[in-house]
Amino acid sequence: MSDTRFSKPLIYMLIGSAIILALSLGVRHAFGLYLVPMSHEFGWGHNVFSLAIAMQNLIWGAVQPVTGAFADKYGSKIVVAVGGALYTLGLLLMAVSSSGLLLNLSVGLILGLALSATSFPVLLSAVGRAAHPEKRSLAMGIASAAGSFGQFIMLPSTLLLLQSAGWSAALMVSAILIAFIVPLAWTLKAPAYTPNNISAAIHKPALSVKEILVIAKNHKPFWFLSLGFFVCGFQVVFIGIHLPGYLIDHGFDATTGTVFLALVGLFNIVGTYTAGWLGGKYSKPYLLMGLYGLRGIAIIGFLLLPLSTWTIYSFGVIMGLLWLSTVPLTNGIVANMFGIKYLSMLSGIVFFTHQVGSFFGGWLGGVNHDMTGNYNMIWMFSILLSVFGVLVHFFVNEEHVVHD
Amino acid sequence: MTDSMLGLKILTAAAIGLLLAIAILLWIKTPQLFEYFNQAFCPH
Repeated sequence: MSDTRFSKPLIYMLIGSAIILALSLGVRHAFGLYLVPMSHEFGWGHNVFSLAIAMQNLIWGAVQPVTGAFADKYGSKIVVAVGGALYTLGLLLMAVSSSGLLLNLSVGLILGLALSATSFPVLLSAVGRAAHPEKRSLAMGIASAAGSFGQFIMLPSTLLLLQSAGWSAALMVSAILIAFIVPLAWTLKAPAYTPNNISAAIHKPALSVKEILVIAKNHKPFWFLSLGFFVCGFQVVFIGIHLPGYLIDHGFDATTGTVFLALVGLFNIVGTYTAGWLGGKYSKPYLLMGLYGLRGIAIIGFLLLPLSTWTIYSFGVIMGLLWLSTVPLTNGIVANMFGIKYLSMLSGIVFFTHQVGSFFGGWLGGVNHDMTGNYNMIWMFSILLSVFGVLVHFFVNEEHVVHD
Repeated sequence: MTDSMLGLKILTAAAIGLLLAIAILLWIKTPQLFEYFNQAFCPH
């Protein structure tokens, strides 16, 4: 029986990837805080900053498979190091951006590229590659939880910095923090797991990128998995962006909304870790079915129960637990389907659908509110998407299409 | 488990606990976060 315990290099790699994800996703999560001060200083409408953020999300999603393919070919270490340098450069340029064009270049293009190199698909694939298959999901869960923690801690700390030192100085400090990603990338050097330490390459010739893409294209469960991740992106961004507005519509104050956001952030850490741990013990598609189903039930309960601070807080706890817990499970399924050689690229393709869902969740929420003055239709659509999420994962399996 | 691995685990657990406590404290100190997001993203 092979040893499933985390090796020493893997533990160092896990710590390194955890810090990288916490920094990368944490700083990214706080970008929204710069909208008001930057728009105010340069006399922009909110559309200027919003367009740059929308560009960033689309570029991030669109280049993710390509960045993933680079990580598969040249190693995560070099891709993450370059991504960290780009991220630093993008933040420094953002700090001196005084026009819409510069903002689109820094926030949209450079930071979009940098995020594709320093976020989930590349980092989770790196730890997934080095972990024993039985512990892969747990390893991904630990790294994902760190990303969630980064989001939780960076939001209030960035606001405090922004209020005490101003937006430009806050960006400079963020750039210094992000620069640590470059040396941390050198922790990503644990060797890929091979059964009994025998190179898999000895047993069979490796597939080319083109061959694996054809296999993935013809594997229906891969597309169902991608469709499921669309639901995740849609719901998370709709609730994350528009729930504050929904609470204001119903007469709640800022404190209730802040506690809601904090509860989502805090329980997201617990949820991602637990999902990774459960994914190592139970069927990941079934867990995802349960997860999307629970999201639907939570939304129905939230809408039907009389709205009070306690139903809002309970909704925050439940949605926090279900927030990014899809990430280690979804990436774990991709690893089981196609092995680890092209994991970053294939996870990147699935992630692209997540970003498309995010785009529509953010945008359609606003459209619905502008047209009707409420969010009723988009809430209903979110419930239907939960049902859709349950259904599509019924057709997902973890069967090995490609063996490592 | 070697002593160094046990030490690393204890150190990691302590660091996580400390960071969590700091993060919760930071949230308590910034109740205005919600206003920021609301101003930024919501059409109200």
